[in-house]
Order: sequence, then structure tokens, then C-alpha cells
Amino acid sequence: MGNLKVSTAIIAALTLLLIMVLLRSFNENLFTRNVEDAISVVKNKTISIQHLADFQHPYQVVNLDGDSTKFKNAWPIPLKDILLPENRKKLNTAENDLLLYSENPATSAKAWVILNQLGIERIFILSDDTNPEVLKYKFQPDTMIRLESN
Amino acid sequence: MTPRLNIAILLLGLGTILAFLPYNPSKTFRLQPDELLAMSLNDESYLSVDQVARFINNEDTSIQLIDLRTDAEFMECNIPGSINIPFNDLLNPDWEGYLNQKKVKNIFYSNDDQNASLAWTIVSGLGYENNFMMRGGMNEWFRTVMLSKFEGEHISARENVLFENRLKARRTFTQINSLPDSLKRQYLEAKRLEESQLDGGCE
Amino acid sequence: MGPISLLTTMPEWVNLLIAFLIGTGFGFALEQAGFSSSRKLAGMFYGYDTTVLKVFFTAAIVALVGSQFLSYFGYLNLQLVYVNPYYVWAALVGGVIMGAGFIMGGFCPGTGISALSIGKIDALFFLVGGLTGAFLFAETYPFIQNLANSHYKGPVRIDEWMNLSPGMFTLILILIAVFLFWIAEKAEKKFKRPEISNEI
Repeated sequence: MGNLKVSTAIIAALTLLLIMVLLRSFNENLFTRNVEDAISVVKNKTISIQHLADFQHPYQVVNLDGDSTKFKNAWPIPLKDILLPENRKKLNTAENDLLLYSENPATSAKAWVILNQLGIERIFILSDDTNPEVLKYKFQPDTMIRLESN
Repeated sequence: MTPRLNIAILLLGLGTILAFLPYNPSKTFRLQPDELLAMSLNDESYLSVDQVARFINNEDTSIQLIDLRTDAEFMECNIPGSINIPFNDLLNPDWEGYLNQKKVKNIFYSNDDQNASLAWTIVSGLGYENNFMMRGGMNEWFRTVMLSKFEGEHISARENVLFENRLKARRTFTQINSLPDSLKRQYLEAKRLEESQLDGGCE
Repeated sequence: MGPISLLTTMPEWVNLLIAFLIGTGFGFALEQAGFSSSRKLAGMFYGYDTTVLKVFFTAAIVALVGSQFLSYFGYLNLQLVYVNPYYVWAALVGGVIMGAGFIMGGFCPGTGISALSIGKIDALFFLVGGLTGAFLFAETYPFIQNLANSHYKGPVRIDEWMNLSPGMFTLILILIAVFLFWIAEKAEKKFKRPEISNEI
């Protein structure tokens, strides 16, 4: 009899744990994506305004500066509001690919990471430059320099 | 026999739940979304190139510059004292010791703002502390520190200090980066070795 | 000390105090489990007493299960846990030397200390031997440096190397443990020796 009790207690504890795990797994206010995914996909996720015409899929611009005049039909969602429930819902259920735009490339990059890690799949960074991560200057070495002159 | 059976059931049950956990918590962000957003909105995580230039001139050891560009770009030129962690390699456990620490300020930079911001958001989301970005990246560094000239007739004391600071950083930058590649490598190796010896473990 | 993120903001002496308490608890548990007897440890080798296997393997899987659930619920940051770097040859050679010392001396370093603390003379000699070995290692390190550092693999984790999730790896380890315990108890019956612990 005593053994049966112990077994029941074990089963009960396991069930309780399982419920707690499930509750946490479906908690929307937690990041649940593998970070490595973000690093591996982000390099193909930048689109420049100049190449927007070549973009293959129907898209929806999200203006993170909250400005709705720069692009027609853009959703003006300032960065600070992207986690508001109504905006989360809108972004989660969007049918088209989402293009995140901000005049400041840092803003769109930060928003991209946050939304990607919240599990939104088809999001891109819309950039003013054709290639934002290119060095526009060339370093001119000083050939006269020798170590001793330090 | 039964206590053994009970323990076996308990452990196997726990193991089964573990095996089917939907995500690996040590590979996901530790911060909650609203915490990370609040940090992202905070402008204090930016440092200007002038501030970075001052750190270099003072040989400040409370900061660590992290260059996120590729190895080739890094060898071409980099801000003196920086280490190279290519963006694609950011989560390599080898860098963990540099990124996940509480001693120095890590200042990320790339050619522009985008990669530095991506990297900053990722490491901040992972719960690492002391992360900063150099606003404008290498392009801004060239524009302001390397190429700006004073124009005008009267120079105020403030401007004088600013330009002295830029000029000094410019000189260090040119000197270090003009070294032949082999010497640069040697210098970086020596620096790395020195630091890896400080990184002990618990044995 | 300790990956419990709460503790990292505590002053150093609290960390050290916690280490002291955990160490004392560990030593006490070792002594209570009978590991201060070298017969118990040698028994593992000859198969008549497999307590060592059962205790340490159980401890390992309990810690594994517990830490992973704590991490899943956000109480523990597993990334802060130090993973020993893997040096292939150093691990092999060191493992053989350690194993040989273990079976000849009848203690591992931890149980040696707990045996010394209850006044066993053989443990005293064992520990002196261990310290002499450590001293010789340090003094001859320049000669064996190449061997010690060869084939460095960094902090490898088996689950990552096998491309499994940590949870799946834990389940496999638990299955292995349960199976090994079953075999071990069979072995104990087969290689049974007369109970002598009352005589000592």
C-alpha cells in the first residue's frame, strides 16, 4: 500500500512539472527562439530602397520612426510600441513580408532582432543604402612609419 | 526492489520531459522582451567616436573595443586595441570570456551602425552586461577622427581639446595600421596570449 | 563560485563561505556513504561492491536534471557554468595515471580527505603521494608541456558534439544509468564477498 502511495506521488509530481513546463513554453512574453538562428539568417535579410522593386514577395513596410508619410500604406509603429499587444497581434498575423524601416539603421536592426527572437519569420530590414555595411573610406598607410619611432 | 523501481520511474519521467522541452534555455535570450526593448530605447548605450578616441589616447583599460567586421577588413585597418570577433562568429564559445564579463565596457563597432546594433541587441538579450556601440561605426570614425579639419578663424578652448584629441588618435591609428601584416599579427597574438592566461578555470 | 545568478552580486567572502559549506556537506556525505573505506572503492574494480558507481552516477543525473529544469524556468544561467576545456592526450594520459592511483590507493582525492578526517593512516600516505605527484607535475611541466597542450579542442560538450538537445542527452544518460545499476546489482551478487566492515 505504502509503495503505491509513493508511486502515485511521483506520477502527480511529474504531471505538475509537465503542466508548469507547458505553461512556460506557451508564454508569449518570453523569448523562445534559438539565438544562433538570428545570426545565420540575418545576412540575407537586408533590402535596400533602391532594390525594393526587385523584391519578389508582396510586402508591408513598417515605419519604426512612426512616420506614415515616407512610404505609402506603411504601418507607423514606433520602436517603443512594437511590443504593445495590438501591434504584436498585427505583426504576428501579417500576411505579407514585413520590411522594417527607420532612418536610423540601428533602430531597424534592434527591432529586427527582437521580433525575430519572438518568432516572427518573414521580416527584413529596409535600408536607405544599397549596402549599409560597407566602408566608404580607404585607409592610407604611412609607409614612413617604423616601429622604433614609437 | 520497489524503491529502486520508484526512483527509476521518477528519473525516467523527468528525463522524458527534459528530452521534449521545446527550446534550449541556454541558447535563448535571458531578458524578457520588454526589458530588452527598454534597453534598446536607452541612448546611453552609444558612445561617440570622439569618446572612443579619448579612450585610446588615455590607453584606458576599462574598455574593450570589439571589431565585428571580417578578418580581412580587420587586418586592413582597425581601431588600436580592438579585438576581432566577426559578426558571423559572435556566438562561438571561444569569445564567451570576452563578451560575458562584468569588468570592462565592451564597445562594438562595424563599418556602420547596422551590424553593431544587431550584435549589441543579441548580446544584451543574452543577459551579458556592459555593452556599448560606437555610433556611426568605422565610417564615422574616418569622417570625424581621420579626416575632419578645423575650419574657421578662432578656435575655442573646447574645440582645441576636441581637435587635439582627434589628432592624437589619428596618429596612433595610422601608426599601428601602417605596420606590415606580419607584425600586426604578432602584436595581436601576443595580446591574446596575455589575456588568455588571465582566464583561469576552476579545476 | 556557483552559477546561481543571485550570488554573483554577493561579496567574495559569502561566495567562499558557500563553497566551504558545500564542501563540508560533500565530505560529510562521502563519509556517510562509506567512501572513506578503501574497500568500498576497490570493490568497484573487483565488482563486489558497486556503491561508488550508483552514488556518483545518481548524483550526476540528479544534478543534470535539476540544473536543466532550473535553467528552463529561468532561475539558473547555465551559460555561466564553466566547461573544462578538452585536451585529448592530456585527458587520456592523466586519466590512466589517476585511475591507476585510484585502484592502488583505494581513494580518490575527495574520499582521501574525508578518510583522513576520520583518522585513517593510509589516507594520510595517499594524500602525501597525491601532493608529491602534483609537485612533480608542476616542476616537470616544461618537459611535458607539449603533451599537456596537444590536441586542444576547447570546451567541448558531448551533447553538442553529438548534435543532440541537452534534454535528449540527459534522457539517454538516465537510460544508461538505470541499465548500469541493474547490471551492477547483478555483479554484486556474482562477486559477493563476506561482509567484513564490522571487523574494521
